[in-house]
Amino acid sequence: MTRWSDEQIIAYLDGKLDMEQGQALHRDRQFDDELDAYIASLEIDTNELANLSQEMPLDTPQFDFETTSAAKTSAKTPLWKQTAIAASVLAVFGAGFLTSSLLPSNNPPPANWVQAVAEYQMLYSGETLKLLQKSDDQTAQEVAVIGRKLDIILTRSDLNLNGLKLRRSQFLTFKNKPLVQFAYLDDNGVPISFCIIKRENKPDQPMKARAMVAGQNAAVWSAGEFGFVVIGKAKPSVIRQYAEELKAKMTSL
Amino acid sequence: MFLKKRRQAIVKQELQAVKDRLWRFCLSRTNGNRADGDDLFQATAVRALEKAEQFEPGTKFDNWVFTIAVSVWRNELRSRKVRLGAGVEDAQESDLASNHLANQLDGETNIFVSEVLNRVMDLPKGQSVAVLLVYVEGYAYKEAAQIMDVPIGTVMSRLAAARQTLKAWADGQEMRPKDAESNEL
Repeated sequence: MTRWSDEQIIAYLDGKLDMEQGQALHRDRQFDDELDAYIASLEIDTNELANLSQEMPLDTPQFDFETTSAAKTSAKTPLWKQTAIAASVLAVFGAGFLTSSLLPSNNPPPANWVQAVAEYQMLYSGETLKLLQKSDDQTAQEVAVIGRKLDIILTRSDLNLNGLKLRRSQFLTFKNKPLVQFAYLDDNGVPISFCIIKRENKPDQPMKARAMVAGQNAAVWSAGEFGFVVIGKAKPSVIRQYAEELKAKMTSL
Repeated sequence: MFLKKRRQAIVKQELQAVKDRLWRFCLSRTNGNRADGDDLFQATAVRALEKAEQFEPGTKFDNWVFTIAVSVWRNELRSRKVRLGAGVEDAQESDLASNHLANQLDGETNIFVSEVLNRVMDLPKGQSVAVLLVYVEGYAYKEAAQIMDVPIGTVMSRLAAARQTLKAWADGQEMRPKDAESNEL
């Protein structure tokens, strides 16, 4: 292969090689199959990456300057440990988060209802739901009762989803607002939840995909006085598909 | 003392402004491991406040704070290596080896909505940071090299390796490590 270095080839692909060198490399490429094949193996759509600059993980932690400053003053504690202490007090995500779930008194409340749902969902085991065997009548009755908590009429068929079995309906609250959860199991025993919260009437929000704690994915939207989320450890496209199905059924609420 | 307090106030304000990007950067350093990413995020904020007097208002705060994150993480990896009995390695090596260390912890998938960004996070760490800084954040090669504290040639060779891997994954010639794991289950 001819004389070109990775440094020059990357600059060429990024359009940052000076014109003279760029033309020379382009010429060489036409006559050197090995060089051409190598460059082809490096060709990716960098515009696609540049367009991602606006995409952030939506669960960015908060800085806690007071806690971290307090940790800083503790003599001889290595910085990493100080901040690990601070982080465990903050207990926002990951292992820290799990600990905090078991110790709710030390844990700051979730910032919004979708986070609260994600935290709750994280504790779900497929085994728990597998043990819940209810008749169709019992399930239908449960759904109707839960619907009344939201002042809506819900039926079992409103909640049917292809490939998922509805196992449990629960009434919860978040900041004194009614929140209901319908817990499903998929064929692989993975829990998926559909939750509805009653909220103040705000402008409708289109469906958005969100990456949540512990590798969960969610699809969130709102309409009228209700907010909706479908969440679980499934691929974003799968979550979205369930959410679209449910959204279509919820339009009459 | 007055200058320090004033600079700390500025640094706090700037940290809030770059919070989301710093979190994404910390995740790229820790291969998407949230627990480590969160520790790094908080540790970087502490270190930035400690060094507030060194920040010159009017200069690029994001470059400065990303550099701090790189240094904090590198020191953490060094101390982990020592704790694991593997001794101290030089900075560049630890940068490359960190992928393995981070993967010993519970790596998580789908941190981002975009599949492309998740793929970037799956690259070996030196490569994912280079791609994030140059192609996502839009830094010049030289700036990325300064933040990563490596020669510019290293940035370029990591970009080349990363491009080759991303291309192979996109073409289906090679499996991403996480895809391979899920196929085994």
